[in-house]
Amino acid sequence: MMRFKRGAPSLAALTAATMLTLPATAQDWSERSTIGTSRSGRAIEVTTLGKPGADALGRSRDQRPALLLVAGVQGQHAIGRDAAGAVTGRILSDHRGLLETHTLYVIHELSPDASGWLGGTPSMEFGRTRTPGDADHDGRIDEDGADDLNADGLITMMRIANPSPSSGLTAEWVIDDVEPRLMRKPKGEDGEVATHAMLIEGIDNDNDGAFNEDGPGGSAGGGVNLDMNFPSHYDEHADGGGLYTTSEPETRAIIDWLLKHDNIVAALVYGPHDNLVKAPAVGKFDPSGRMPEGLEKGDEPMHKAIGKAFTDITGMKEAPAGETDGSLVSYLYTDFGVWSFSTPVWVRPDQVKNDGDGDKEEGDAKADAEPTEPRAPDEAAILREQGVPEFIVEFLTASEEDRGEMMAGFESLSPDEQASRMEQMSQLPDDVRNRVMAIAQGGEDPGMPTPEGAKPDAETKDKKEDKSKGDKDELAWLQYSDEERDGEGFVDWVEIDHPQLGRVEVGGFAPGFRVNPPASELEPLVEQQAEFVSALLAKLPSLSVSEPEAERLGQGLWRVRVRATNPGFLPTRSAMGAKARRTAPVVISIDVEPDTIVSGPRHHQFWTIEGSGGHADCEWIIRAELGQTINVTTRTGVFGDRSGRVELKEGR
Amino acid sequence: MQHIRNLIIAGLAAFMTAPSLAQDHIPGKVEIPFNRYSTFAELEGHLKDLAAAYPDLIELRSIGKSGQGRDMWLAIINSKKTGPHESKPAMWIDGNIHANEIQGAETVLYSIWYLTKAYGVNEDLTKLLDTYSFYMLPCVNPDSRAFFFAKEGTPHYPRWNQRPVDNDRDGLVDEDGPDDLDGDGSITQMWMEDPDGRWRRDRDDPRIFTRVAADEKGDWTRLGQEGIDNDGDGRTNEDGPGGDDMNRNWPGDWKPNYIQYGAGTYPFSNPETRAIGTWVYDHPNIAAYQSYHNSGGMILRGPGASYLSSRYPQQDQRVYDEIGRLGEQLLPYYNYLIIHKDLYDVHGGEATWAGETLGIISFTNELWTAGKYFQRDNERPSDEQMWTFRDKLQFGQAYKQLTEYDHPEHGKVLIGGLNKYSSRNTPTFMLEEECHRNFAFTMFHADQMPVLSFERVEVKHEGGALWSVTVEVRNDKLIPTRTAITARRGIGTNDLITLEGAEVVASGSLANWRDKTISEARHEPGRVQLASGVGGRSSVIHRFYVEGARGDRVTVRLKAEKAADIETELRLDTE
Repeated sequence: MMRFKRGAPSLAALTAATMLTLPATAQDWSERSTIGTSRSGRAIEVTTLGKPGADALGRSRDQRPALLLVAGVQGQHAIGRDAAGAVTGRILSDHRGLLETHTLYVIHELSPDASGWLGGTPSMEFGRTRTPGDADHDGRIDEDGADDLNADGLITMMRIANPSPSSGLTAEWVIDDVEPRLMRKPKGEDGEVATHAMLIEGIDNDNDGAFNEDGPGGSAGGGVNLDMNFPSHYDEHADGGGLYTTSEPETRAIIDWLLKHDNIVAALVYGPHDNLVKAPAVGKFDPSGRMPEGLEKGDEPMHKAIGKAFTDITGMKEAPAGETDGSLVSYLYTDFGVWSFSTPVWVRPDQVKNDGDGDKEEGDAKADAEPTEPRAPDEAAILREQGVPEFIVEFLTASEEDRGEMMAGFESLSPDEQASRMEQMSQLPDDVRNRVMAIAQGGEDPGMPTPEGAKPDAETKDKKEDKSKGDKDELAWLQYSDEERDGEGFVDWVEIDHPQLGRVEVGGFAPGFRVNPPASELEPLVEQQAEFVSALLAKLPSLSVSEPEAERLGQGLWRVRVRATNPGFLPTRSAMGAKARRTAPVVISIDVEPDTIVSGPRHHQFWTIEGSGGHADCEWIIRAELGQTINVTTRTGVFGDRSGRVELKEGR
Repeated sequence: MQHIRNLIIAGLAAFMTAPSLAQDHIPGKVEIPFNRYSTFAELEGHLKDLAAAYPDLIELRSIGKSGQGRDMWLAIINSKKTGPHESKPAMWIDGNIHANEIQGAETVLYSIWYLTKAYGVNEDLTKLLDTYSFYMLPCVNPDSRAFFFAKEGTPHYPRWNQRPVDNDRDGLVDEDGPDDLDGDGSITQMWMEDPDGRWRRDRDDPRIFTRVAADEKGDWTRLGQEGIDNDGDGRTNEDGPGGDDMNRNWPGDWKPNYIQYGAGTYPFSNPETRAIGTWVYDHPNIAAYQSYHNSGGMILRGPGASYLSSRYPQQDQRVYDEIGRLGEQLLPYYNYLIIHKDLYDVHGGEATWAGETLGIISFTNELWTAGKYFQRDNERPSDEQMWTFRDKLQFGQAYKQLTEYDHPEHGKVLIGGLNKYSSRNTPTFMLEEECHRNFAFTMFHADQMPVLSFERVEVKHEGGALWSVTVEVRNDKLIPTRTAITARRGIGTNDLITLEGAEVVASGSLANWRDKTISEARHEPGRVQLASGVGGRSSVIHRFYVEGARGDRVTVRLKAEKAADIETELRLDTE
C-alpha cells in the first residue's frame, strides 16, 4: 500500500535553495533575530526584510510601514512554514523595490515545538506545543495519548464494529454504502441502526475507561494550541487553550515583540483557516459588546478588496473558514488593531479555479459551492408582501448598528411624522409589530417567524449542513487521493487485534494529507504567495507630509499650513484599529511658544487618514516676526517621525 | 533545692504572664505602630524585623521585582513543625494594588504581626496556624506607594503603577502630570476668581465652594487639580506618571484597553501581577483569597460582569454568603456586595480572576467608609458633619488651607483643599481598629478552608478472601475541597481516594451508611477520582472490595489539592 510521505520539503532545504543563492548585496537586506524561545528552549526567529540603513525620510527598517507574515502557529501546517520561508527569498530576489519603502517581517515558525508531531514517529496530525497537560484532571500528565497500533508509523482512526458493552463505547456510525471507506452517521429517520464506534488510533493506556483522553495525538490533553492561547475571545478552561491566556512563552514572545513594532500595519497568517476567500462576518460581538467576532463594519470593503486581490492571484474559490477562539489572527485584528488576513496557502485542486474558467464559470463555481442549499427566503420581499411599510422593512433588515441610528432618527422626527409612523405601526401584522417593539425596547430580535413546515429550526439546519458538507468534503478528499495521488492520502482499513477491544479496524486519512500539498506543488504556490505578499506590501498605508507653507496675513500675523497624505491603498488604520486606539494618532505640532498661537491647536491629531490619496490638513495662525523659521514636527507613531520648516517671508 | 527553684520560676512565670492574661493585649517581639502609615521602605523594615523575630513562623521571600526594581515581599506564614506550607490549605492575602489605597498594606502587615505574635499565646489563632498556612503580600504596587509618600499625590492618585504610558496619545510619555505648586506634598485644587464663574464661595466657611444654579451668577472657577500645562498643549495634567491599573491586568475575562481602561497590554504584562500570578498558579493549595482596597466599606465578590453569573453556582454562593454576612457583623458600616451589580463592571480584576478562573472563594474589601466618621446609624454624614469631624477630631490635618499662588498661566489663584490622606484613607487614630476588624474577618474566612478527617471506618469480612473496607471522609469546614465552579469547569486536579496494600476488585460510593449498594467507580477501583471533592460540612462515603488474607494491612488515602492529605492504616480483621 502507498503511504503518504509529508509532501512539502523541509524549511531548511527551501531556505537553502532560495535565500543562499541571492546576490551578495541582498544579504544586507535581510536580518534574522530571535524574538524568544519556546517552552522547550527552541529559538523563535524573525526575519526582517528591508533596505538597510535609513531611507529617504531617515527611517530605519523598524520605522517603515510593515507587513508581518507569520506561519507555524499550529504544527501540522507544514506548508505554511515552508511557504513563508520560500516567500522570504522570493520577495528579496524579485520584489526588492518594495523593500525600499516598506518592511516585511517573517516569523516562519512561531511554535517550533509543535512542528515535530507530523514529521515524527509515529506521524500525527497534531499542532500543539509540548506543554505538559492534565486534560482529565486525574493527577497524571499526558498519560494517554494516541498509539500506532498497526505499526505503519501513522496515527489514523479506529472503527469498532458492534462494540461490546464492557468497552464502554457506543456505536454512532455506519459504513457509507456508496463509499465504504468512509463512515457516516446513520439515517435514523429510515430506521438505520448505528453499527460502529470510532476512536483515534490508540489504547486506554491508563485503564481509566477513556481512550486517548490525555496526551499527544489524542482527543484531548498534550500541549497547547497557540491559536487558542491569545486573549481575543479566549475560551477559558477549554482543552488546548493553556492554563490561562498568554500562558505560553511563544504567545508572550510574539506579543512582546509586536508591541515594540508599531510600524506593523497589516499581518498575514499562514495557517489552517482562511479569511480572504470569504471575509469574516460583520455585526457580531463578544459578551462585552465591543470586541467584534469577525469584522468591524467599516473594514468590510477594504478587507474584501484585499480578498479579491488574493483570489485573483491564487484562483481559490473555496477554503476552510472558521477560526478558533483565542487565535493569533483574531488577536492581531481585535487587540493589536491591524489588518489581519489568513490563508491555508494550499487547498484541494477542485477548490481552485481552473485556468480555463471564465467569469461565467466562476458564477457556476459559486453555485457549486452551495449546491443543494435552498436560498434563504428574501426577508424584505416577504415583509413587503405582507404590506409592511418601507421604513419598517428597512429597520428590520438593517444591522444592529444601523437600527440604533434609525431609532435615533425617529426621535428627531417632527411630532406629526412620529404620530403618522406610530399609526402605521399599529396596523402591522401582530408578529411584525411584536418584533419591532422587542427591538425598539432594547431586546433581541426574535427573528422572522417561520412559515409552518418551511424550514427546520436553526440548530438542526446547521447540523445538517455541517454533516452533509463534512461528508462531501471527505468524499472529495478521497477522490483527490485516488485520482491524483495514487491513493496515498488514505490508509485502507485493516483489521488488527486491539489489546482491549478485540478485533478492530485501523485506517483513515493519512496525517497531514488534507493540510499539506505534495512537494511538486510548492513552486507555483510560492509563486502565488510571493505575488500576493508583494501586492499587499504595495497596498500598505503610508504617510507623506508636505513642507510647511506660510502666508502673511498682516503685521506679525501668519498662517502656516501643512498637509499629510496617505499615498497607500489602505487607510492609515482599520476601523478596528481606530476603535482600539492602541497606537498614537498622527500628531502634527507647530514648534512655537503656545501663547503665540492665535488659531489652531498646538497639536493636530488624526486617528485615520484614508488611503489612495486621502489627506489631512493642518492650519495655524501665529504671531511671529518676518524672517523667523517655523518648525513643524510630525510624530506618526507608526510611519516614523519627521519635521519640516518654513522661513517667514513676504508674500507666500 | 531543685524543687524550690522550680517553684520560684513557676511563680515568676505566673507573675509575668498574668498581665497578658488579664487583658487581651498580646505582647509581640516587634512593636509596630498602627496609628500611622508606613512608607514602602518602612514597610520593608517591619517585614524584615518580623521575619527575624519569628523565624519558625515567617519566611520572607521576594517573589519578583516591580517595574522600578523594588522587591515584591511575600511573607509565608506557616508553623513549620506541623508541616511544610505547601502541604496545608493556604490563604492568599494582599493589599495596595492601587497605590493611593494605602491602608491595604497596613491591614496585611497588621495581619502578619498579629497572627505571629498570637501563635502559642492565643488558642484559636494557634490552632488556625497549626492547620493552615498564609501567603501575605502587603504591597502589590511598591513603586506607586513609594511615589505616593515621597511625591505629590491625591486621595485618588497615583492609583496605577509607574509603567510609562502615553495617556493622551500625543507620542510623548508622562510629560504632563500634576505639579505640587505649593510644595505641601499633596495635589489639591486650584480656584480662580472669575466674574463668569459657576461657583460661589461659602460666606460662613470660605473653604467651601458650591456650584451655582443655572440662572445664578457665580464668581469663582474651578481650574482642577494643582498643576501647570507642562507640555504646552493647552491641557493641564493630562499625562502623568504611569501606568496600568493593575487590578485590570489578570487573565480572567481580560479585555484590552479600549474595553477596559487601564488593562495593560495583556494579562500579567506587568512584573508585579506576573509575580503574584506565577506564585498562585504554582501553589494550588491556595483555598481562600483576599485583596484589600479602599474605600466605601464593602465586602465584594464577583462576578465582575453580568455574563459571568454562571461562574457562581448556588453551592458556592452559599459559601460566599455565609462568610460575607459574618463580615458585615465584624465590620460595622460595611456591606456585602456583588461587583458588577453593586459597583461596576470589572474585566481582568484580581479577585474575580481568583474566584472565576481559579475557583477560589475570593473577596475584595473596600476599606474605610464615611459612615465611620461618627459611627451613628444615620445615613451618610452630611458635608457639614464631615467638616466637623475633620476640624474637631482630626484638628484640620486632612485639609490644606487655601493659599494664594501666582500661576504661570492663570495669574492669581488659590490652591488648597483636602490632602492625599483625606477621605479615602482611614484617619490614623482609627487605623488599628480597621486593621484588626478586617484581620478578624480574614481569619474567619481562613478558618473555613477544608480540613479532612476519617469520620468512621469499617472493615467487614465478606467471605473467603473478600473484604470490604468502608470509610467516611468528613470535611467539617464550610469550603469544599473542590468548589462547585472548580468541578463544573474542570479546574485543577480532582481529589483522589486510594487503597493500597491489597488488590481492590471493586469500589464505589455510598450516599449514606444505610445504603446497601455502591455507586460503582468503574475503572481503577483502587484509585478513584472525586471530581466534586468533599463538600463543605459534609462527607463522602466510599467502599472498597478487596481480596486479602486476615491480618493484611491496607492504607486508605485521600489526596486533595486544597486540603491536607489524610491516610489511615487498617487491618483486614473483624474486631
